[in-house]
Amino acid sequence: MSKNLRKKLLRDIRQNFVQFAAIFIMCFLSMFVMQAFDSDTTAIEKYVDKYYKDTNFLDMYITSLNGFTSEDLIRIKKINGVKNAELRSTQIGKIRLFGTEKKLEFNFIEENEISKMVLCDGTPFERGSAGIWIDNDFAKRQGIAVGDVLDLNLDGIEFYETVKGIILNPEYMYFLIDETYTEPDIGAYGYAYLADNEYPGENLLYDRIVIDAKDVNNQFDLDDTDKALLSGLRESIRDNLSISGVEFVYKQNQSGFDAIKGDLESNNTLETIFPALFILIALLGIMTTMTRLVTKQRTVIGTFKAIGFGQMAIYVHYMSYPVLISVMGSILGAAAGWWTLGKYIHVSMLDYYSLPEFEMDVSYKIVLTIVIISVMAAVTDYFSCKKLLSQQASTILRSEAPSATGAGLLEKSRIWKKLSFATRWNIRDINRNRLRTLAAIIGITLCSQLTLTAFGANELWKRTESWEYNELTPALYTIGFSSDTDYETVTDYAHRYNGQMVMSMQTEIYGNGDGFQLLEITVLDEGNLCRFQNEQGEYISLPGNGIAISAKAAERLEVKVGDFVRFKVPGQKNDYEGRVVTLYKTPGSQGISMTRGYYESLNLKFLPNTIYTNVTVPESYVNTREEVVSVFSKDAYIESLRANSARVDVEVIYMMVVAVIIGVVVMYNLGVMSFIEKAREIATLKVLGFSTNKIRWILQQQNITVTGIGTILGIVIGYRTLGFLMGQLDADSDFIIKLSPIPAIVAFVVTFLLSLIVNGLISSKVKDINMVEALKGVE
Amino acid sequence: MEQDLSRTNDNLLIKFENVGKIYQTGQITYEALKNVNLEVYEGELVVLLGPSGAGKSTLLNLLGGLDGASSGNIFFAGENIAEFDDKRLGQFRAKDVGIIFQFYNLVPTLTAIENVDIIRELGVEIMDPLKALEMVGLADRKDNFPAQLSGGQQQRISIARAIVKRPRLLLCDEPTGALDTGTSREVLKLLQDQSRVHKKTVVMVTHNNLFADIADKVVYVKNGTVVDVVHNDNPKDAFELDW
Repeated sequence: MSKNLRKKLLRDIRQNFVQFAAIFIMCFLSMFVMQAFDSDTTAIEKYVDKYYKDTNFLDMYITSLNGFTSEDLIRIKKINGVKNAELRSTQIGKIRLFGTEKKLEFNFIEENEISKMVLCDGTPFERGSAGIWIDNDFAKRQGIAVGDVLDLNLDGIEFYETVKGIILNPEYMYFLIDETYTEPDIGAYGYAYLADNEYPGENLLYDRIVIDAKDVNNQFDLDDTDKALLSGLRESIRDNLSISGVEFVYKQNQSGFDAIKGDLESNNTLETIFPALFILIALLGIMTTMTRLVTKQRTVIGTFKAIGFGQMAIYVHYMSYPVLISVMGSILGAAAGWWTLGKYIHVSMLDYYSLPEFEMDVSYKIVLTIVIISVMAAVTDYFSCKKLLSQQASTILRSEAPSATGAGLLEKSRIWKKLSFATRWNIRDINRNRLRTLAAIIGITLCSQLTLTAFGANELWKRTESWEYNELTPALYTIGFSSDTDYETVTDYAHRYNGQMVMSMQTEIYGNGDGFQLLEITVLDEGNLCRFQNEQGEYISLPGNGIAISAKAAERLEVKVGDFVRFKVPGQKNDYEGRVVTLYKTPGSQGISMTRGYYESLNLKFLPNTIYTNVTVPESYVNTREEVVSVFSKDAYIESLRANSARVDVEVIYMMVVAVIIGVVVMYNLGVMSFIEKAREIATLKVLGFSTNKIRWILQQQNITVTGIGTILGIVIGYRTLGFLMGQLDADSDFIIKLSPIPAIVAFVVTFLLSLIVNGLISSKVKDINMVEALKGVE
Repeated sequence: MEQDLSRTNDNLLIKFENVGKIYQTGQITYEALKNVNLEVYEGELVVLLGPSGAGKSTLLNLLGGLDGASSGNIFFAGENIAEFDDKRLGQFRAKDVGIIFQFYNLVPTLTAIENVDIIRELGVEIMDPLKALEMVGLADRKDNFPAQLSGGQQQRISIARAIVKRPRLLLCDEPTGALDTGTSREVLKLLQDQSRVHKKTVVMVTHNNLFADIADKVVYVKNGTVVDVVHNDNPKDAFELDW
């Protein structure tokens, strides 16, 4: 484009600043949100994949309460499809540091070729070597260095080890040491690796075998072929191992993999939905702005054509307006998204995940999206200008005859005559400017929808605390027992603390979908400290003749009430089956629940590992009693939950800011455009003697109607969006999407207030309108 | 004031042969021009005269390739422009035709010199835009935007824009229609000079009968047909006109 046309373009943009600013802001917001989330999703894909590849991350592991032998290992290694396998014993113990005890997960290993340690300091692990290789995050937070001698305790046996290396391990990328933690507290507890000959006890029970599959090379992004290969391998291992009660955990179900994959999917949803909505608004803005601009520049375009400019040259010139603005908005939005929200999300991720390398990254998706936005802007503009530009120069140069909108059904009806002048004027104005009105409704809808979603999400998060700890599990204390604690011991505690015994375990559950899902089985003894609610939030009792299933588990297993689910029980060779009698909603662990009576009717032994009680339990039990692995108070749970909701507060603020920006930008832009277009009509009304206030009221009436429609639509759509978004947050989280009237009221008030203020500002110009100038009006 | 004009086949620039133009709007058909035959020679100043709706502007549009004829042939320097496609018509307008509009049609967001210089975009050879402004006496206002200029000044910029590419044909659609008498005389003088001094062919549409006095040829148009063509061997100087 030439220097002169470039100057024209920039000056035109300056003259129509509000309209182009609106397009700019929408593109800016779109790429702001996308880049903010994408910088981390790209980083996850890149660095987790690299981590897994560098360390030869396991493809599958199997566990058995009875343990594995060297013969089992040999058998597995011989299976076609197994590249390598290693025996391992994983146990939770303790470490004494400066008088306090911390939890430490010990791994006793023979080899370390699968899920290899990344050495941060010290010497590499070698088979049979003495010493301990300890978690880098734990070492940093607790002040442990290579050469230190650590005071350790496992199963009551105290022993000492010298730190040989500070390491990271991919299996501990996301690490919750036990169920008492709802989210990671990196460095508060840790993990360690030792050679199996360093085991302080007498007989080491290898409770797991980690497996490297031969043909599964794609380490993070598993495809269907990889999953099918692992599934086939599982069957081969099952056939070759003669022992019972073997549990299989695929790579994709490993806690770190599963957690980060979930975050990735959730980020992917957020980085798609919101930018798509903003782009939609931007395109509507382009359509309305450019249609107005080319109409306004009808004479200029006709002149260009008349003096010999080719059609393509004129198209290119007018397409360059939205392309320039959208590309600038997108690039600056991406940059701002990176430096603000992106950085914030990145720092939040580092609170959850531990990786040797994890830097924000830019993906081709960002560049591609900017290109797509600019192409869409050009195409939208093309269609906005096509009608005018395709005409002959002589036709364009003639003034456009006012478009005659035919009288609709309403105008022919009896009601029409009864309507006030203002109403009729507004109906005709809306009818003549359908596209602009539609754009306004969409913008207002989005503003109201985002406000409701933000406040709704906030309310649901806040409500989770009370739902979980007041309504579902109101117990003041939860005592966790080690897996080998016998029934009588737990019963003693239950009597002493007047508690309710619960057996919970994670296991494979099969429904109507393909394969199994790793879900929670909860078996309840009598008591009222663990309760259930249906999808409407009403209390329900567990059925005595079947199982209850959480709504999200039912969704994952593709089952409904009346269907059967099959599940495995650790230590048992057979599979068990139960009919789904009812559905329940739970904010936490998804799975199936049943009464002790029903569980025992399946010839299974009730072995409780948790007690809920309202009697105060000394937290020192964790250190003084071997069978107690955790004592958690309700207050501690709530504290951890509140730490999480601080992040939600920030997200709500971001969403609110975005909602207000969208509201103001769309309303102001379209309001100004509408006002300019109506200037002649307004001037005519003034000439005829209408007072300024009367005219402002006419304009305000249209605004109130359009805002009302948009707000109501936004609230309805907002509820749906909220349900969808909350469902995408985490595979294990669930919410009852039942809100108080407050979010809807806030959405209504915020949107209406914005609308009234913006329209008030615009309509205040009525008093300044120059009747003579406006009526001369040759643009 | 006498002008040396030879009207031979060698300097015949434009020839209309049975040209017709029909407009169709929905079911309504309007015949704007019927069987028009007309000849215009190089260097002539032709005035098209006629009442409103007579077909003068349509004739001008066909002359300038702004619109296509419904029937007949229009020869420009021997080429039948009625057979040109849109692209070729665009090239014809860009190279050979300069157009001056009643309401100037300047780009409001470009300065005077930028409005003239924009012709460079057409890929045709142009004179120095400042020289074109000097020719219309507005070099000192080169950095003014149209809104900062009077109607007459804007029309002079429009003339500078038309002549900067040295076209063979200048078409003027009521060039003084929006101007006062004094300014109109100045504009007419500029156009007359284009014909006399620079040997350009100038075709001007007007409804002001007085302008016939400055023309070499006056074409009377009525109800879509050319009703009379009058040659004027002693055209007046534009400054001699009085109305």
